[in-house]
Amino acid sequence: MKKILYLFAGMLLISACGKQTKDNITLDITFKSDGPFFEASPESLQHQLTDELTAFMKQHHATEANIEAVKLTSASFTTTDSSGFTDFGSLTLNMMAGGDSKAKEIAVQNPLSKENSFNAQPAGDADLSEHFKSKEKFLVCDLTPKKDRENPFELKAKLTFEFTFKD
Amino acid sequence: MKKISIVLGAALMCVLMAFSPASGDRLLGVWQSGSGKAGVKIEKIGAKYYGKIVWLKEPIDPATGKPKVDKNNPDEKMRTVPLKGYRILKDFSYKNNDEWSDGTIYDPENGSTYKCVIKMKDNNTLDIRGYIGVQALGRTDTWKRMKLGK
Repeated sequence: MKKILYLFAGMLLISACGKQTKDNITLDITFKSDGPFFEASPESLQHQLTDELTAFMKQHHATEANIEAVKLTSASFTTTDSSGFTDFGSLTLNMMAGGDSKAKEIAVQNPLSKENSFNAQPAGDADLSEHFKSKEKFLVCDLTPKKDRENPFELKAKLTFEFTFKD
Repeated sequence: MKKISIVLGAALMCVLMAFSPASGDRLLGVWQSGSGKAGVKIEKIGAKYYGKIVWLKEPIDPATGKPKVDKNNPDEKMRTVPLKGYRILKDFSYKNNDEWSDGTIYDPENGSTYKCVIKMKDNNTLDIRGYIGVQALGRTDTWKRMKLGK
């Protein structure tokens, strides 16, 4: 009888915790700056996330309230610039959002590859759920120029985020 | 007639307040820390204010002969990030009365992050108060707006 009671209590506990689902979304983000870049002045390239997540959220019948956890699992960067990344020394990708969420560094690469693409190391195990729940959310790419540069610069980021949804 | 005057007066007040130099954007610009070791550029992203190091009095680490990096960061992965460009002021919101709060300040010399409130004393002077827990337990540094050629 006692065993049955424990089993029943366990089942009750599991059902009270609710169901969680995990899924990944990969975002293709373009960062641009018209330049000029100055060696003495690190440059911040911004992208505001607006409707990139709409289809993904619909697919999961989820709203912001259903977001339990979000983390960046991979980040790769490419540029079609003829000089590749050679004009820049390092890159830090940040996530910022409105409300009570705090800015977080989510990927770092230093030094940058001499090639036209590289995979950056996701920084820490930052939970970004508060950021993705916010109405205003920004990805900010900090680039440190190694020398002065007159021309504009464009890079593309392929970012994969793992979302955990709760029912 | 009196009603129209009141409405017009209120509207004028709103316009004046919207374009008043007392708005939060007065914080934007490049500021030099009290020690004179660093210049910090404050920028606005969304509705919040952030500040990153754009100038260092001694940019080269004498131990390595290379540009200084954030070697004291508690996150090991961040220790290769150059100090020049590092965002040390984060998440400040303007609260009227020349005060920006709810933010943090990072001290690269010990790798610690403190709660922080910024108070503008005049157009060229900021009081930056870093604290733990309550504001009374903290330290204030006075920053000056940086001029070209400094």
